Amino acid sequence: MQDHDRGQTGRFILRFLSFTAFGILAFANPTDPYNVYALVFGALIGLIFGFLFRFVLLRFLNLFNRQIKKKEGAKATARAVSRGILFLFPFAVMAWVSFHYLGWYMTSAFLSAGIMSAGVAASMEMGKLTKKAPIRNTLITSLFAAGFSGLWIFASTSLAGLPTLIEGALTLVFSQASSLF
Amino acid sequence: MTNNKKSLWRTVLAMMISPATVAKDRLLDSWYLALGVSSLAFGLFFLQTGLDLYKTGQKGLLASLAYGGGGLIYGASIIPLFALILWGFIRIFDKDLSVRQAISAFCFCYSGALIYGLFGLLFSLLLGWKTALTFGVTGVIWATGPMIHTIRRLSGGKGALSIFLSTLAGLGILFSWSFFS
Repeated sequence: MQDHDRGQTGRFILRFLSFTAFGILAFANPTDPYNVYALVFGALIGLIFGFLFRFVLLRFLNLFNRQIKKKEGAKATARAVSRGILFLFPFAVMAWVSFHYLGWYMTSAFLSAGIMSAGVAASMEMGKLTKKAPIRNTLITSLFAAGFSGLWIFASTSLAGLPTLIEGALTLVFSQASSLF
Repeated sequence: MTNNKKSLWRTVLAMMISPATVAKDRLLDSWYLALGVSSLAFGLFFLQTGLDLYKTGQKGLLASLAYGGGGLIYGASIIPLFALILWGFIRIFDKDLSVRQAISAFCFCYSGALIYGLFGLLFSLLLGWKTALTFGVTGVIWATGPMIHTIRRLSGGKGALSIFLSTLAGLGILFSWSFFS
């Protein structure tokens, strides 16, 4: 097994759990936190944003670090970004516990801090490939992460009513279908 | 003294931008400065909570100021206590790490919270905003990022361990904070 393959599954699972948790929490209703429609829709949105975050962050960092990518290879830079994104996990756990056990509904604060930390960590991991962490990478990823978390929070707020609409539409379809048979 | 002050602010800002590089800084021996950072960070955060309650008429001005005092005590006692627990874990990997260094490193993680707290207090006093959530909570959540970097640096680059310990420390702080507030 090559060096950059080691721990790949573990990293994938933690990334998956982090983005799913944030997606679910962003759409969770405190009065009905385990609504199936909100859970599925939230998880889906979380995974889409998770994929986009990793995808764009990697390309962004590769764009500004062509020499590193050329020297170390695309897999090494992808691994650096994946390792950085792991920093999101503690924030996801804290956000989940805050929401479900402490009754604090501050997902946005955890999300923005987590995304920023993950972005900065990814840039530092990238810097480790050359044994130095260029401050330019940190600034670029900070700006990108701030914009991305803002976009995610904006999208979650804008689409907040969608799970209820889907639930209503599906209930109507099922009730009509059951009356036919 | 002036040099010391300059170094402190440099460390506070560096902890926000690049925490890993600060983790083994010479200034980490200045544990009393670090204690000052975490005490002030929580003092300002709790003070803003008190001021928010004062603005909504739920508490008197003296009680609001007492909140700030409570924050100072929290930052000077509970945060070092968590540092002590983490030191026990990290010592397994770094026998040279002293208690003072661990406390300093952990307390300096709240540098960002201190900056957020200062801005929050300004907005609270000058513009009359309620800032405990926007600035205070955000600042404290933000500390998790530097904490992961610091633990990793102090434990000799153990990524998984730093994420695990930061999650535990973050949860511990959330629960203790919920208990005291």
